[in-house]
Amino acid sequence: MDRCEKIEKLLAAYADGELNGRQKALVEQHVAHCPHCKALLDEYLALNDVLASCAVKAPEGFAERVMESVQHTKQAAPAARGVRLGKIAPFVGVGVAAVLCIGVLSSGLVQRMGQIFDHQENVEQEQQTAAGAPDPAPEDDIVGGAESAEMPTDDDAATMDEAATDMERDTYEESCAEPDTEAATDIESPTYPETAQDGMESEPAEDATPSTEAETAVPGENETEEESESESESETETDSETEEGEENRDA
Amino acid sequence: MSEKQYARLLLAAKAGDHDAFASLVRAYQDRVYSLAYYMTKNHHDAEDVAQEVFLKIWRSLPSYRGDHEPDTWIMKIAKNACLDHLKQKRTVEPLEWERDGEILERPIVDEDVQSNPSQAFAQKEMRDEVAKALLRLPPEYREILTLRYMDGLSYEQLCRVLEIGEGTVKSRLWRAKNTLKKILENGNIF
Repeated sequence: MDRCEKIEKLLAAYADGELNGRQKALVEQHVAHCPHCKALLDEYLALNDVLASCAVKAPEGFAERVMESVQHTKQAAPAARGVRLGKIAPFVGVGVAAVLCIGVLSSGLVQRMGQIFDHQENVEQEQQTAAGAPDPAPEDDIVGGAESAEMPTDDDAATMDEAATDMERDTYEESCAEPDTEAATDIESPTYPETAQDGMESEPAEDATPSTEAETAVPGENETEEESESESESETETDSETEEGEENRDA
Repeated sequence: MSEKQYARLLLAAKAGDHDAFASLVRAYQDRVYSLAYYMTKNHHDAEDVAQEVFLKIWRSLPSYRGDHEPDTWIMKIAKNACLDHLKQKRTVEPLEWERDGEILERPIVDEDVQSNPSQAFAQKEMRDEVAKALLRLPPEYREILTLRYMDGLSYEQLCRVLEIGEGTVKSRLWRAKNTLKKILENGNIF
């Protein structure tokens, strides 16, 4: 890469006043003797001014319309540090509902099992009475029936409550795994949609697999619509730092 | 107004001061609207998006702790709102050069130019051409050029709003401007 190509990449940042002292000196030294780069720098400066003048004013009455909407909008409750209430509330609700359901089911189950065994006992007694056999010891049957039916005991109910609490804690901890420290903004960096309407496709996402950056060639007319899709941003930052190192060595 | 003063307005609005919030809206409305316009490419959607930005700011005020710079906090919300809108509305939008049947008049900042009508006309022509060319760029180029040159964010602020490194800011701006220049060259403007 020749010197002009290296300096060209710094000209836009120089025009923005964003170069450090050493880079700034490099550029100034070069453009003092290079008409091509001087002309390019003048173009960037002119473009900066025109871009600034392209700012669009908000329409008449915009602020008033915003304030009207604000009057009818309540502010959100402040989020707890690291946790969004909105995230854990559904799980807490599910946990509470689960505990209540288990409690209701347990009591209903006990009642129903009682009814079943009462009926069974009555049937057996009738059968044995009819057969002339002595009545079986009622306690034995009840105990046998209880064991075979595995009726839920108070210990079982406690175990179920503990399981529900465990489930609630697990889901709470899971929801805490991704703390939201910026409630005002989206957590994920949004990716850009396809822009077929521009005739140009957007650049690949920041975390795309780095590819060799082809910045040395001067893009032709067709590349205007396509060049952005072939260049990787993550590669670029490394390249810039490498270039800075080269500049320092050359100086 | 300085960043500290904007931060004080935000904190006052957070405490329920509607007048403070109204001052904030008036201070940021043009910057937010510019971004919304160049991202949505039409004034109707730009106004909807810009309104939504300020409503989001209002709703998020309880979470504002005064440790974020107002510029980056507000423009990040604006940037995300624009991208959400683009994701939702994937239809092809006609490019809008006019509003309500009339050419949109942008304010001429330099008052001296007004005394020279031909120069003012030439500047207006160039400005319109650059704006048209800007609207033809991919969204990430439109976004960074608007945030830098119309909204006045520094490279450091761009890093925070766009969540990218400084090297990427520099290279993206360089590519965006070169692409813009190529479009303008094809129209013999540059």
